Amino acid sequence: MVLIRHQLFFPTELISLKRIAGLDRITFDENEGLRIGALVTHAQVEHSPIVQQHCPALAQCVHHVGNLRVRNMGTLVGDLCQADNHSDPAPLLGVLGARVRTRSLRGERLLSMAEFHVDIYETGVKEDEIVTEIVIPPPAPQACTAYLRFSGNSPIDWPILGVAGSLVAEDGQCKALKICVGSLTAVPLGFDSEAEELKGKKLTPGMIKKFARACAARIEPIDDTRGSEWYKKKVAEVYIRRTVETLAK
Amino acid sequence: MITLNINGTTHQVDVKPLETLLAALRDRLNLTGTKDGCGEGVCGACTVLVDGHPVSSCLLLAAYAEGKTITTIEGVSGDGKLHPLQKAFLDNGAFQCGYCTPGMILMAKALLEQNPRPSAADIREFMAGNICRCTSYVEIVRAVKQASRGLRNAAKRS
Ligand SMILES: Cc1cc2nc3c(=O)[nH]c(=O)nc-3n(C[C@H](O)[C@H](O)[C@H](O)COP(=O)(O)OP(=O)(O)OC[C@H]3O[C@@H](n4cnc5c(N)ncnc54)[C@H](O)[C@@H]3O)c2cc1C
Ligand code: FES
Ligand code: FES
Repeated sequence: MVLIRHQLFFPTELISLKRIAGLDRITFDENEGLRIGALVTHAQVEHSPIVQQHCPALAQCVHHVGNLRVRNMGTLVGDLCQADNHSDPAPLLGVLGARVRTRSLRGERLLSMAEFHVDIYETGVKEDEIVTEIVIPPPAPQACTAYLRFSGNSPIDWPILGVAGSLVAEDGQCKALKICVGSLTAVPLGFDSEAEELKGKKLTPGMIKKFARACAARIEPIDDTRGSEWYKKKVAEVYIRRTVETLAK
Repeated sequence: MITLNINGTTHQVDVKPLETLLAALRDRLNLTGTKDGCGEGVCGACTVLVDGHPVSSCLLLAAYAEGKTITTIEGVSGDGKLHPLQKAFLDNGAFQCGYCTPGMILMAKALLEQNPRPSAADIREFMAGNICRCTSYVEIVRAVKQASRGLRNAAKRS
């Protein structure tokens, strides 16, 4: 709808998914994890006891999407499929290892987030497919996850950037760290090679600072009304540092 | 042709496939209390309640609202009497031009149905997506508080 209202999209056919049974469900099982159907709104994700229990970071993240009216109407799947690069949930679903299930007459496919995100307003979903659900695998034991966003004008504005992180630590030592930054580039950006350097090391304030600087150095942010490239790089460094500090606490 | 249930009355409306609920309300049913502001979900001037939940009617296809219960500002007062929220907005001078007011009142109505005793912070958080360009938000928060007290007292009496 947003794309139609902004006159970026002129559909000749419009198919409602509203009456397809089963797309409005949120379920969890030990094998596949959390499954969120294509008709589930942001507000339903936010208030779902199943999401709050198995993926509290996602419930918190979607609370920041736009305003209450947007969350009452807009779906999580619609947010992803619209593929606006300022999506809040996109980077978080990246660190959670989520996959997108599609369906067509040819059968089903499960796309990783890397396969799903192609460009701004472009996804890996084919013309004859619909997305039926998002699947979030059960988290590794002891993994903590966080999402921090920064929106310059007001908290209800789209983010300038969003940083998602997930950490498994033992005795203060980093076992596995994932960081994904959304909004700054056409598709969410991960930092696996930088995070690899921290594996097995103690997360001291100095290490975290160095890590954030290395990640920010690799980002080439899109210069737009939300900020210049230089400014966004600075904000990214601060928010990546804060995200890792939050996870390490 | 679709059937819309608006403020307790059923309407048969002939709409185009991409027509918004806002356009159907204003241009076909002459329910012009719902205002057209930004047209992109930001300002809240077009707020209506669909099955009790506040939504932007500028982003909702009219066809999507079929089978749902729609409340617009015209359906808020009853028996020729103002709703306590409408009265509180008048008492507190919570508007100047009044363009944002229908949306504010519907948003506040949804809040008070969920939370009959909201704090000022609850009101600000819930109504953060409704923008007023001329009066001050202080009066709006005060009006919602007054209405919440009025509604609680009325509930005690009945
Ligand atoms: C004022 C405003 C502020 C916003 N702020 C934020 C924000 O801060 N953060 C954020 O992340 N988002 C924000 N959004 C975006 C919002 O989250 C999305 O507009 C909404 O979630 C879209 O969901 P929908 O169900 O309405 O999708 P639609 O608008 O119906 O669809 C969007 C696109 O996805 C496609 N699509 C939808 N479902 C499927 C499916 N099942 N299979 C295949 N394709 C599909 C449609 O064809 C269309 O191209 C904002 C939107 C508005 C209007
Ligand atoms: S006119 Fe619909 S939100 Fe502004
Ligand atoms: S009273 Fe004029 S916009 Fe609110």
